[in-house]
Amino acid sequence: MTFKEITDLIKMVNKFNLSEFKVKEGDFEMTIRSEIYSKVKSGDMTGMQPVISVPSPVAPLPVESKVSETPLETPPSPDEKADTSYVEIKSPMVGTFYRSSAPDKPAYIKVGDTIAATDVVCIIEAMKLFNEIEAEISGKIVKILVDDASPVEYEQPLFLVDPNG
Amino acid sequence: MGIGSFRIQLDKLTSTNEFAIKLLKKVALPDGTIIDTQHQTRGKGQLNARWIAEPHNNITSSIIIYPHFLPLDKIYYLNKAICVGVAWCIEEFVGRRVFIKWPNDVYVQNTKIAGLLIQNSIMGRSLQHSILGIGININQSTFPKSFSACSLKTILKENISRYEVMEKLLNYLQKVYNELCLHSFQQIDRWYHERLLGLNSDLLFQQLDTQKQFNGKIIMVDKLGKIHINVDGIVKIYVSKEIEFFL
Repeated sequence: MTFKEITDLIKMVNKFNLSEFKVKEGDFEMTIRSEIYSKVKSGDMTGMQPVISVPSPVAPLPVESKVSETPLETPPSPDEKADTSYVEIKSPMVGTFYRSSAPDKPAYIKVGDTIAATDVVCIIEAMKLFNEIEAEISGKIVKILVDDASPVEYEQPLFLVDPNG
Repeated sequence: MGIGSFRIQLDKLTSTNEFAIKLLKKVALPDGTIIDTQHQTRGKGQLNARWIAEPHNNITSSIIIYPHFLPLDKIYYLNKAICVGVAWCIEEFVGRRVFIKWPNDVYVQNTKIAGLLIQNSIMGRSLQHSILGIGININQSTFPKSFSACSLKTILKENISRYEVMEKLLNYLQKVYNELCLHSFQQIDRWYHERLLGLNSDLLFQQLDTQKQFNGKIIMVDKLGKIHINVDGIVKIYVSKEIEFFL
Protein backbone atom coordinates (compact mmCIF):
# COMPACT_ATOMS: atom_id res chain seq x y z
CA MET A 1 0.00 0.00 0.00
CA THR A 2 1.39 3.38 -0.95
CA PHE A 3 1.59 6.34 1.40
CA LYS A 4 -0.92 8.18 -0.79
CA GLU A 5 -3.40 5.32 -0.39
CA ILE A 6 -2.93 5.43 3.38
CA THR A 7 -3.64 9.17 3.54
CA ASP A 8 -6.66 8.73 1.25
CA LEU A 9 -8.04 6.08 3.59
CA ILE A 10 -7.59 8.32 6.62
CA LYS A 11 -9.40 11.14 4.79
CA MET A 12 -12.18 8.74 3.88
CA VAL A 13 -12.63 7.54 7.46
CA ASN A 14 -12.88 11.17 8.56
CA LYS A 15 -15.18 12.22 5.74
CA PHE A 16 -17.68 9.42 6.15
CA ASN A 17 -17.46 9.28 9.95
CA LEU A 18 -16.54 5.63 9.89
CA SER A 19 -16.06 4.02 13.24
CA GLU A 20 -13.53 1.47 12.16
CA PHE A 21 -11.71 0.57 9.00
CA LYS A 22 -9.36 -2.34 8.50
CA VAL A 23 -7.27 -3.14 5.51
CA LYS A 24 -5.07 -6.14 4.86
CA GLU A 25 -3.01 -6.55 1.74
CA GLY A 26 -0.26 -9.14 1.68
CA ASP A 27 1.67 -8.63 4.88
CA PHE A 28 0.49 -5.03 5.18
CA GLU A 29 -2.16 -4.45 7.82
CA MET A 30 -3.69 -1.21 9.00
CA THR A 31 -6.60 -0.35 11.28
CA ILE A 32 -8.10 3.11 11.64
CA ARG A 33 -10.53 3.78 14.48
CA SER A 34 -12.31 7.04 15.01
CA GLU A 35 -13.92 8.53 18.10
CA ILE A 36 -17.20 6.88 17.09
CA TYR A 37 -15.57 3.49 17.60
CA SER A 38 -14.71 4.19 21.23
CA LYS A 39 -18.21 5.58 21.80
CA VAL A 40 -19.89 2.53 20.33
CA LYS A 41 -17.61 0.27 22.33
CA SER A 42 -18.18 2.05 25.62
CA GLY A 43 -21.94 2.12 24.98
CA ASP A 44 -22.12 5.87 24.62
CA MET A 45 -24.32 5.50 21.60
CA THR A 46 -27.67 3.83 21.67
CA GLY A 47 -27.99 0.89 19.39
CA MET A 48 -25.59 -0.18 16.76
CA GLN A 49 -24.10 2.43 14.58
CA PRO A 50 -23.98 1.61 10.91
CA VAL A 51 -20.44 1.37 9.72
CA ILE A 52 -21.02 4.09 7.17
CA SER A 53 -23.13 7.02 8.24
CA VAL A 54 -24.17 10.09 6.33
CA PRO A 55 -21.26 12.44 5.91
CA SER A 56 -21.61 15.24 8.39
CA PRO A 57 -21.67 18.70 6.86
CA VAL A 58 -18.97 19.84 9.24
CA ALA A 59 -15.79 17.82 9.24
CA PRO A 60 -15.23 16.66 12.81
CA LEU A 61 -11.76 18.07 12.91
CA PRO A 62 -10.24 20.81 14.99
CA VAL A 63 -9.81 24.00 13.02
CA GLU A 64 -6.15 24.07 14.04
CA SER A 65 -5.29 20.89 12.24
CA LYS A 66 -6.40 22.46 8.99
CA VAL A 67 -3.09 24.27 9.12
CA SER A 68 -1.42 21.15 7.91
CA GLU A 69 -3.79 21.00 4.99
CA THR A 70 -2.77 24.35 3.63
CA PRO A 71 -1.17 23.77 0.29
CA LEU A 72 2.56 24.13 0.54
CA GLU A 73 2.75 26.42 -2.44
CA THR A 74 1.49 29.56 -0.74
CA PRO A 75 1.76 32.30 -3.34
CA PRO A 76 4.23 34.98 -2.38
CA SER A 77 2.40 38.11 -1.32
CA PRO A 78 2.56 40.55 -4.21
CA ASP A 79 4.14 43.80 -3.21
CA GLU A 80 2.90 46.96 -4.85
CA LYS A 81 6.17 48.77 -4.46
CA ALA A 82 9.37 46.87 -5.01
CA ASP A 83 10.94 46.19 -1.64
CA THR A 84 14.52 45.02 -1.76
CA SER A 85 15.01 44.75 1.99
CA TYR A 86 15.51 41.26 3.36
CA VAL A 87 13.54 39.72 6.20
CA GLU A 88 15.00 37.63 8.99
CA ILE A 89 13.65 34.37 10.32
CA LYS A 90 14.47 34.45 14.02
CA SER A 91 14.80 31.73 16.59
CA PRO A 92 11.69 31.50 18.79
CA MET A 93 13.70 29.96 21.61
CA VAL A 94 17.06 29.17 23.13
CA GLY A 95 18.47 25.89 21.86
CA THR A 96 20.65 24.18 19.30
CA PHE A 97 20.19 24.90 15.60
CA TYR A 98 20.06 21.98 13.18
CA ARG A 99 19.65 22.30 9.43
CA SER A 100 18.33 18.76 8.96
CA SER A 101 16.11 16.33 10.86
CA ALA A 102 18.99 13.89 11.39
CA PRO A 103 22.71 13.88 10.62
CA ASP A 104 22.17 11.53 7.66
CA LYS A 105 19.28 13.55 6.22
CA PRO A 106 19.57 16.42 3.73
CA ALA A 107 19.23 20.00 4.96
CA TYR A 108 15.68 21.37 4.97
CA ILE A 109 16.72 24.35 2.92
CA LYS A 110 19.77 25.87 1.27
CA VAL A 111 20.69 29.27 -0.09
CA GLY A 112 18.71 30.04 -3.23
CA ASP A 113 15.73 27.89 -2.27
CA THR A 114 12.29 29.39 -2.57
CA ILE A 115 10.24 28.75 0.55
CA ALA A 116 6.60 28.96 1.54
CA ALA A 117 5.40 30.16 4.94
CA THR A 118 4.62 26.63 6.10
CA ASP A 119 7.92 25.13 5.02
CA VAL A 120 10.14 23.77 7.74
CA VAL A 121 13.46 25.60 7.67
CA CYS A 122 15.34 24.07 10.59
CA ILE A 123 15.14 22.30 13.92
CA ILE A 124 15.84 23.99 17.22
CA GLU A 125 16.51 21.38 19.84
CA ALA A 126 15.94 22.50 23.38
CA MET A 127 16.40 19.99 26.18
CA LYS A 128 15.44 17.01 24.03
CA LEU A 129 12.40 18.75 22.61
CA PHE A 130 12.88 18.76 18.87
CA ASN A 131 11.17 21.79 17.40
CA GLU A 132 10.60 22.07 13.68
CA ILE A 133 10.57 25.76 12.81
CA GLU A 134 8.29 26.89 10.01
CA ALA A 135 9.34 29.89 7.91
CA GLU A 136 6.26 32.05 8.57
CA ILE A 137 7.29 34.11 5.54
CA SER A 138 7.67 33.16 1.93
CA GLY A 139 10.50 34.11 -0.35
CA LYS A 140 13.98 33.13 -1.34
CA ILE A 141 16.72 32.16 1.10
CA VAL A 142 19.54 34.67 0.73
CA LYS A 143 21.79 33.67 3.60
CA ILE A 144 22.01 31.12 6.41
CA LEU A 145 23.31 32.98 9.41
CA VAL A 146 24.06 30.14 11.81
CA ASP A 147 26.24 27.04 11.50
CA ASP A 148 24.71 23.60 11.83
CA ALA A 149 24.63 22.22 15.40
CA SER A 150 25.50 25.52 17.04
CA PRO A 151 23.70 27.11 19.98
CA VAL A 152 21.22 29.91 19.30
CA GLU A 153 19.62 32.53 21.49
CA TYR A 154 16.03 33.71 21.69
CA GLU A 155 15.32 36.08 18.76
CA GLN A 156 18.67 35.36 17.12
CA PRO A 157 18.39 35.74 13.33
CA LEU A 158 18.74 32.38 11.58
CA PHE A 159 18.02 33.06 7.93
CA LEU A 160 17.87 36.03 5.63
CA VAL A 161 14.97 35.87 3.23
CA ASP A 162 14.20 37.95 0.18
CA PRO A 163 10.39 38.19 0.35
CA ASN A 164 10.26 39.18 -3.32
CA GLY A 165 12.62 36.44 -4.38
CA MET B 1 -11.56 15.11 21.16
CA GLY B 2 -9.65 12.98 23.53
CA ILE B 3 -6.25 11.42 23.44
CA GLY B 4 -6.46 8.18 21.51
CA SER B 5 -9.98 8.76 20.22
CA PHE B 6 -8.67 8.49 16.68
CA ARG B 7 -6.32 5.59 16.14
CA ILE B 8 -4.21 4.51 13.24
CA GLN B 9 -2.65 1.14 13.72
CA LEU B 10 -0.13 -0.41 11.38
CA ASP B 11 1.40 -3.83 11.77
CA LYS B 12 4.86 -2.51 10.96
CA LEU B 13 6.43 0.94 10.79
CA THR B 14 9.95 2.30 10.67
CA SER B 15 9.21 5.04 13.20
CA THR B 16 5.82 6.21 14.46
CA ASN B 17 7.12 9.77 14.94
CA GLU B 18 8.45 9.99 11.40
CA PHE B 19 5.23 8.52 10.04
CA ALA B 20 3.25 11.11 12.02
CA ILE B 21 5.34 13.95 10.59
CA LYS B 22 4.82 12.60 7.09
CA LEU B 23 1.06 12.18 7.58
CA LEU B 24 0.61 15.67 9.02
CA LYS B 25 2.00 17.17 5.84
CA LYS B 26 -0.71 15.46 3.79
CA VAL B 27 -3.81 15.01 5.89
CA ALA B 28 -5.57 16.73 8.78
CA LEU B 29 -5.58 14.48 11.82
CA PRO B 30 -7.88 15.00 14.83
CA ASP B 31 -6.42 16.27 18.10
CA GLY B 32 -5.23 13.29 20.12
CA THR B 33 -4.72 10.95 17.16
CA ILE B 34 -2.53 8.00 18.05
CA ILE B 35 -0.33 6.18 15.60
CA ASP B 36 0.47 2.79 16.94
CA THR B 37 2.48 -0.15 15.75
CA GLN B 38 3.33 -3.50 17.24
CA HIS B 39 6.56 -3.57 15.34
CA GLN B 40 8.73 -0.49 15.03
CA THR B 41 11.79 -1.27 12.98
CA ARG B 42 13.77 1.96 13.28
CA GLY B 43 12.57 3.65 16.42
CA LYS B 44 13.87 7.10 16.98
CA GLY B 45 15.74 7.87 20.15
CA GLN B 46 17.50 11.09 20.92
CA LEU B 47 19.22 12.36 17.78
CA ASN B 48 21.18 9.35 16.61
CA ALA B 49 20.17 6.95 19.34
CA ARG B 50 17.82 4.18 18.32
CA TRP B 51 14.92 2.90 20.33
CA ILE B 52 15.16 -0.86 20.11
CA ALA B 53 11.98 -2.78 20.70
CA GLU B 54 11.07 -6.40 20.09
CA PRO B 55 7.97 -6.80 17.92
CA HIS B 56 4.60 -7.24 19.68
CA ASN B 57 6.13 -6.86 23.13
CA ASN B 58 6.10 -3.15 23.67
CA ILE B 59 4.27 0.10 23.16
CA THR B 60 5.79 2.18 20.42
CA SER B 61 3.36 4.93 19.59
CA SER B 62 3.06 8.56 18.69
CA ILE B 63 0.28 10.89 19.75
CA ILE B 64 -0.50 14.06 17.85
CA ILE B 65 -1.80 17.04 19.78
CA TYR B 66 -2.30 20.72 19.01
CA PRO B 67 -1.30 22.58 22.20
CA HIS B 68 -1.86 26.11 20.86
CA PHE B 69 -2.67 27.18 24.41
CA LEU B 70 0.91 26.59 25.55
CA PRO B 71 3.19 29.64 25.36
CA LEU B 72 6.65 28.86 24.00
CA ASP B 73 8.34 29.73 27.28
CA LYS B 74 6.29 26.93 28.87
CA ILE B 75 6.97 24.41 26.15
CA TYR B 76 9.13 22.27 28.41
CA TYR B 77 6.05 21.50 30.49
CA LEU B 78 4.98 19.24 27.63
CA ASN B 79 7.94 17.04 28.44
CA LYS B 80 7.34 17.21 32.19
CA ALA B 81 3.62 16.47 31.86
CA ILE B 82 4.02 13.55 29.48
CA CYS B 83 6.79 12.06 31.66
CA VAL B 84 4.37 12.25 34.61
CA GLY B 85 1.56 10.62 32.60
CA VAL B 86 3.77 7.73 31.51
CA ALA B 87 5.07 7.33 35.08
CA TRP B 88 1.49 7.16 36.45
CA CYS B 89 0.65 4.43 33.96
CA ILE B 90 3.66 2.31 34.93
CA GLU B 91 3.02 2.92 38.63
CA GLU B 92 -0.44 1.44 38.28
CA PHE B 93 1.06 -1.83 37.03
CA VAL B 94 4.11 -2.11 39.27
CA GLY B 95 2.27 -0.89 42.36
CA ARG B 96 4.87 1.57 43.55
CA ARG B 97 6.44 4.86 42.65
CA VAL B 98 8.63 4.94 39.56
CA PHE B 99 11.16 7.59 38.62
CA ILE B 100 11.67 10.14 35.90
CA LYS B 101 15.26 10.32 34.79
CA TRP B 102 16.07 13.76 33.49
CA PRO B 103 15.55 14.65 30.77
CA ASN B 104 13.09 12.17 29.24
CA ASP B 105 13.15 8.61 30.51
CA VAL B 106 11.16 6.65 33.05
CA TYR B 107 13.02 4.29 35.34
CA VAL B 108 12.14 1.42 37.67
CA GLN B 109 14.84 0.08 40.00
CA ASN B 110 17.52 2.16 38.33
CA THR B 111 16.76 0.69 34.92
CA LYS B 112 14.95 2.23 31.99
CA ILE B 113 11.40 1.09 31.24
CA ALA B 114 10.12 3.92 29.07
CA GLY B 115 11.31 6.83 27.01
CA LEU B 116 9.90 9.87 25.25
CA LEU B 117 10.72 11.74 22.12
CA ILE B 118 8.73 14.89 21.56
CA GLN B 119 8.83 16.69 18.23
CA ASN B 120 7.09 20.03 17.91
CA SER B 121 6.24 22.27 15.03
CA ILE B 122 6.52 25.99 15.64
CA MET B 123 5.52 28.90 13.49
CA GLY B 124 6.32 32.39 14.69
CA ARG B 125 5.47 32.47 18.37
CA SER B 126 3.07 29.57 18.46
CA LEU B 127 3.15 25.86 18.80
CA GLN B 128 1.39 24.25 15.83
CA HIS B 129 1.46 20.61 16.77
CA SER B 130 3.36 18.22 18.97
CA ILE B 131 4.16 14.62 18.26
CA LEU B 132 4.60 12.68 21.46
CA GLY B 133 6.64 9.58 20.75
CA ILE B 134 6.31 7.11 23.61
CA GLY B 135 8.08 3.80 24.08
CA ILE B 136 7.22 1.49 26.98
CA ASN B 137 8.75 -1.93 27.47
CA ILE B 138 5.99 -4.38 28.30
CA ASN B 139 6.75 -8.02 27.59
CA GLN B 140 10.28 -7.82 26.27
CA SER B 141 12.40 -10.10 28.44
CA THR B 142 15.89 -9.73 27.02
CA PHE B 143 17.78 -6.54 26.30
CA PRO B 144 21.14 -5.83 24.71
CA LYS B 145 23.83 -6.04 27.39
CA SER B 146 24.87 -2.43 26.95
CA PHE B 147 21.36 -1.29 27.88
CA SER B 148 20.30 -0.97 31.46
CA ALA B 149 16.65 -1.65 30.66
CA CYS B 150 13.66 -3.50 32.09
CA SER B 151 10.06 -4.21 31.18
CA LEU B 152 6.81 -4.74 33.06
CA LYS B 153 7.38 -8.44 32.53
CA THR B 154 10.89 -8.51 33.99
CA ILE B 155 9.53 -6.72 37.08
CA LEU B 156 6.23 -8.53 37.54
CA LYS B 157 7.42 -11.92 36.25
CA GLU B 158 4.34 -12.36 34.11
CA ASN B 159 2.99 -11.32 30.73
CA ILE B 160 0.99 -8.12 30.74
CA SER B 161 -1.70 -7.26 28.21
CA ARG B 162 -0.39 -4.63 25.83
CA TYR B 163 -3.98 -3.53 25.25
CA GLU B 164 -4.52 -2.85 28.96
CA VAL B 165 -1.32 -0.85 29.26
CA MET B 166 -2.34 1.18 26.22
CA GLU B 167 -5.81 1.96 27.60
CA LYS B 168 -4.36 3.05 30.97
CA LEU B 169 -1.66 5.07 29.25
CA LEU B 170 -4.22 6.99 27.19
CA ASN B 171 -6.32 7.70 30.30
CA TYR B 172 -3.36 9.00 32.28
CA LEU B 173 -2.07 11.06 29.39
CA GLN B 174 -5.52 12.60 29.05
CA LYS B 175 -5.55 13.41 32.76
CA VAL B 176 -2.17 15.10 32.76
CA TYR B 177 -2.89 16.82 29.44
CA ASN B 178 -6.05 18.33 30.95
CA GLU B 179 -3.84 19.82 33.68
CA LEU B 180 -1.52 21.23 31.05
CA CYS B 181 -4.55 22.81 29.31
CA LEU B 182 -5.44 24.43 32.64
CA HIS B 183 -1.88 25.76 32.93
CA SER B 184 -1.41 23.87 36.22
CA PHE B 185 2.35 24.25 35.96
CA GLN B 186 3.00 24.18 39.73
CA GLN B 187 1.03 20.98 40.08
CA ILE B 188 2.87 19.36 37.16
CA ASP B 189 6.18 20.48 38.69
CA ARG B 190 5.21 18.88 41.98
CA TRP B 191 4.30 15.55 40.34
CA TYR B 192 7.47 15.68 38.28
CA HIS B 193 9.84 16.42 41.16
CA GLU B 194 8.22 13.81 43.42
CA ARG B 195 9.50 11.29 40.89
CA LEU B 196 12.74 12.92 39.81
CA LEU B 197 15.47 10.30 39.92
CA GLY B 198 18.41 11.28 42.09
CA LEU B 199 16.70 14.31 43.65
CA ASN B 200 18.63 15.39 46.75
CA SER B 201 20.93 12.38 46.73
CA ASP B 202 24.70 12.46 46.41
CA LEU B 203 25.57 11.58 42.85
CA LEU B 204 28.57 11.46 40.58
CA PHE B 205 28.29 13.74 37.53
CA GLN B 206 30.37 13.96 34.43
CA GLN B 207 30.73 16.91 32.10
CA LEU B 208 30.43 15.53 28.58
CA ASP B 209 32.92 17.86 26.89
CA THR B 210 35.80 17.73 29.39
CA GLN B 211 34.98 14.31 30.93
CA LYS B 212 35.52 16.04 34.26
CA GLN B 213 33.74 14.30 37.14
CA PHE B 214 32.35 15.87 40.28
CA ASN B 215 29.94 15.14 43.10
CA GLY B 216 26.72 16.98 43.69
CA LYS B 217 23.02 16.87 44.45
CA ILE B 218 20.18 17.50 42.01
CA ILE B 219 18.02 20.31 43.36
CA MET B 220 15.49 20.74 40.58
CA VAL B 221 14.69 20.83 36.86
CA ASP B 222 13.58 24.35 35.99
CA LYS B 223 10.87 25.52 33.58
CA LEU B 224 13.26 25.44 30.65
CA GLY B 225 14.28 21.89 31.49
CA LYS B 226 17.71 22.79 32.83
CA ILE B 227 19.00 20.84 35.78
CA HIS B 228 20.17 22.63 38.93
CA ILE B 229 22.91 20.86 40.84
CA ASN B 230 24.29 21.77 44.23
CA VAL B 231 28.06 21.36 44.01
CA ASP B 232 29.76 22.17 47.32
CA GLY B 233 27.14 24.74 48.20
CA ILE B 234 27.16 26.40 44.78
CA VAL B 235 24.23 25.94 42.39
CA LYS B 236 25.33 25.00 38.90
CA ILE B 237 22.90 24.87 35.99
CA TYR B 238 23.28 22.55 33.01
CA VAL B 239 21.44 21.62 29.84
CA SER B 240 21.05 17.97 28.92
CA LYS B 241 23.90 17.89 26.41
CA GLU B 242 26.44 19.11 28.92
CA ILE B 243 26.22 16.52 31.60
CA GLU B 244 25.35 12.99 32.62
CA PHE B 245 25.12 11.35 35.99
CA PHE B 246 25.65 7.90 37.42
CA LEU B 247 23.26 6.04 39.66
